[in-house]
Amino acid sequence: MQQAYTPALQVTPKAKVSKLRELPLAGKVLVRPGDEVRADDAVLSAELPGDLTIVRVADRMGFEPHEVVRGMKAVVGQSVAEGQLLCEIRTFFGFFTSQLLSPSAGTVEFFTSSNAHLGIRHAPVPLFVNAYISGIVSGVEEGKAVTIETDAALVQGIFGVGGERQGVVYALNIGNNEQVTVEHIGRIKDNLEKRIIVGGLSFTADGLAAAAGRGVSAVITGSVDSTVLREFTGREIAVSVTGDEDVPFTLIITEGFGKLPVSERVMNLARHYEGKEASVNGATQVRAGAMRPELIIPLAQSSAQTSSLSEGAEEETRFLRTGARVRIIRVPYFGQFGEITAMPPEPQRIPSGALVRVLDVHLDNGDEVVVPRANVELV
Amino acid sequence: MAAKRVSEAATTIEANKLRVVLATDCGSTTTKAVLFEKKEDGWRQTFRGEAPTTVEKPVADVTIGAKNAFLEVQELAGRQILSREEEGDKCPLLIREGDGSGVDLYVSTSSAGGGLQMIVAGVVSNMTTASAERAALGAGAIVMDAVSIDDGREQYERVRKVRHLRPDIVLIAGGAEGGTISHPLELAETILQADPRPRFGETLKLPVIYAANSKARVQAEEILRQRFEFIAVDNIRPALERENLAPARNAIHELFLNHVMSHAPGYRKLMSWSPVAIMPTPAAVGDMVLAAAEKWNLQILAVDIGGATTDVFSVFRGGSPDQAFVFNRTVSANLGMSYSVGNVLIEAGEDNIRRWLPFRMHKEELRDRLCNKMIRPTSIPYTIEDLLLEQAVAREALRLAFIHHRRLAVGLKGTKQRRSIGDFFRQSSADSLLDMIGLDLIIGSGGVLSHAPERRSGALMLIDAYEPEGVTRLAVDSIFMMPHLGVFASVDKNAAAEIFVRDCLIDLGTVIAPVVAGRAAMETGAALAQAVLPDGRRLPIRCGEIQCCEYEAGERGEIVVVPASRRVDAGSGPGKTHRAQVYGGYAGIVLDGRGRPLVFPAAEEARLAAVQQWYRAFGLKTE
Repeated sequence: MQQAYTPALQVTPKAKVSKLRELPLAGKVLVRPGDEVRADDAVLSAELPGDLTIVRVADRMGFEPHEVVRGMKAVVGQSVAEGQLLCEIRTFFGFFTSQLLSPSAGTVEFFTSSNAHLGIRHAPVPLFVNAYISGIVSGVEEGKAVTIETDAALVQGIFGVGGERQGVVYALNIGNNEQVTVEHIGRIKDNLEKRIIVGGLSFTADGLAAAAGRGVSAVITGSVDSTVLREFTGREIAVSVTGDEDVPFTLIITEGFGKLPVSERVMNLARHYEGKEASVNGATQVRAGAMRPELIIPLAQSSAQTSSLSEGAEEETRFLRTGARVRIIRVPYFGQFGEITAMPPEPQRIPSGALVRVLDVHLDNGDEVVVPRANVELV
Repeated sequence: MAAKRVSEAATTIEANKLRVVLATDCGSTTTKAVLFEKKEDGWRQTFRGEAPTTVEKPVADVTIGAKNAFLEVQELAGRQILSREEEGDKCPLLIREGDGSGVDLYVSTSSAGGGLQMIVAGVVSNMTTASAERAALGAGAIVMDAVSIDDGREQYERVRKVRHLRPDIVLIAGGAEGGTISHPLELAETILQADPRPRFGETLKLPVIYAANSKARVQAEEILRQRFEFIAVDNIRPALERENLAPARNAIHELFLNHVMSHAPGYRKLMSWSPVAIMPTPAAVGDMVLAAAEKWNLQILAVDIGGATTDVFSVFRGGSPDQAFVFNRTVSANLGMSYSVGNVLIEAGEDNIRRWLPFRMHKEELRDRLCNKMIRPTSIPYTIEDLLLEQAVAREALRLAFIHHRRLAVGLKGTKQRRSIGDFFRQSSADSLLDMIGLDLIIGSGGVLSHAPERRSGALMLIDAYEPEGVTRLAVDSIFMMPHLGVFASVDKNAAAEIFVRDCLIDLGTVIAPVVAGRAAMETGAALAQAVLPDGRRLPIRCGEIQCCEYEAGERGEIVVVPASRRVDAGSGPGKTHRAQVYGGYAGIVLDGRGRPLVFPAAEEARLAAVQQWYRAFGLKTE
């Protein structure tokens, strides 16, 4: 391998963003290629199979299974209404009649004679999938999926919780090194409802609670204390697969755990696009680098021509090279930025005793340091 | 004429004609390729290359990562193994020629895409559900959930849990032949109610293997066939005292190859490159461990600690020396060193991780560092402090995975085996099978053990986590090649065994750990036993202390351990002199008098002093 792929989180004013929207099962596509859609427009629909109610006919009627089989009135494939007769048994020369009525409406899916269990499938539940981002429908896979494309400013975070949401970008007027508290939120007079607020070193627990109280859609900040995160989500994050937490808003961190300032590039973007509608998703799947949380701010379609160039440039920077800017992602230089000054090809011994391939980095604070190649991210 | 490709070779493999074999393990993060070559002095592992696994979008084709790993082997070996012409889906590997290019055979294992994931269901937790779980684990699967009629959950809770899972296969067991019919049907109903979706392929019907009472088979099929692919096999537990795992295991393996793998991105192509079936990684490692135990007649405990999961394998005799080996494998799906490090933190707790550190670290600092490792899993420790923190986590992950293993490892083997009713009722007391004092060898594998900067630290980690008793040899997998050897063994058992001994196993040494019977503690510093080393040196094993005596790798001799009192057992019973073979290695002969279970001093200062002494004894840095 001549070049090593290195993870890089994108923070870019212009990129072609394409989102595949998929149904979990076969359904209908509601749009056509070329259609312009808004983030909250439904683009796909399907019918989820309804719940299955299992009726233990023999148990319910107090008979043996073989006795109820001959009294069954409902058959597999039949539609039944709630309260409709399912089984009727006459005993004692027909003097006594036992009946079992259907507890729910649906279709009889199975009946097992050996235990006299009957399955009633409820009516299907409609499911709609929205576009998530405003843009153009660029592809359709009949019955399954659509692709929405847009030119957008894009911020990828390192970790997030909470799923897809939409809102309006709002840059906090606060230093990148400052922790956001309940007092900071209290001092903001603007309406924060449905806002995606960006800024700060991190949020205190009461700062997050205050943001929730103001109805924000999302918070994007530099870092979070693991204990604050636990309080926010109500549980420990055991593995880095997130997105379905029951949280009042989506939380995205751009740098890591602890106390690390949000980068100036993220803040510049947020300030530039303040007031713009955007989409966020906190879903993170670290495994195989599959999914990182994101803020997508769709741009006017007129910028489409230049966007593909910027995307190409992004791909190029995914390889380490002398002169590239990097963020160090491990102690003792964790969170610091710098520039690669040399890439010695031979492995070197680092203080832990391991023999690894390294980089020489000139940090922004003027220090020259040696770090393992595995411990940097391109910025 | 274009050079012939490996996939065009004859489909029958003549093992005695093999000279160069390329093997890959497609892991969740990395695809590792190793080259095995038959030299004048026999089979050796010669070169190794690796590349990121490419099962995720945008590439979504496992063969791309495999080709990149081949390329690295080619560059390192200076041998042309790849064709210069790209020809669609054809295997890019050349057949070996007289000029030294090409390979004879390509084989592979895989755990990419999260490996094989299953839901198992049975009637009674420690009977049929346990059998189903063993069949799944033995086939190399991760068990996502085990449903039992008696699992204590309400039906809606079971349905809710299963509904959100995305398994590859469901296995239903339950009801001995002639036994209950209603319960297996109830399990079929539960699966139907939950209606879990398959992980791959939206249009795919999820396979359900029915290995329960055959009398309920037709009705179970009626319930399930509309929404699932129904596969019936012989009853996994035809009688209470008899277990028959093989049909279910074979069905799992068949489905894994033809159903799950072929729907995973690029696997159909990868499968066409090899005449040998792709094996799930844990199944290959398990085969290797079992083969080693049988070949050397040893009781073995092996572990593979990865980023996401920790697999534990054990081969013990079922209670007495003349009994057949019993193989068990468990996978702790959320105990690992990177993706799952957050879960280790939760399950072990901060205090249990901190207790292994020879320095102070604030709880918050520890939590934040580990969470950062979780979200940046490929980063590596730069400082000693950071390295020791990772190794502390590893001890806890190993310990927790072993507790899990002890719970599940019981005296049943993956083939037909008869047990008495009495055995069945003793089944829950699984600990009796893992007789630590009779354990001969511990093998560690996985990055944190195989790639520890100091091999001796691997020995200390294994001792701390497993607390071996008596005399136990320690080894690590040099570069993580047990999966490759496992699949190669399916072609040439002897060649794989030869490489295993010569290039895979790195001897760390032998630990001597006498145990004190009864609860009364002995005074720190008091002599537990005297060890007479192979060179004649007589050394006391002192209570609360650990020390390493130099004994080089390759050296082998007899040790005599003489207990200082009747309460001390060195391996032959309380108070009895114990003689055993010892093997040298990086840590030499380790005399461990710290006692079992390992107890830490309560006061922080005393704990620090004790842990620092342990590190010093192994010549390891603490700052």
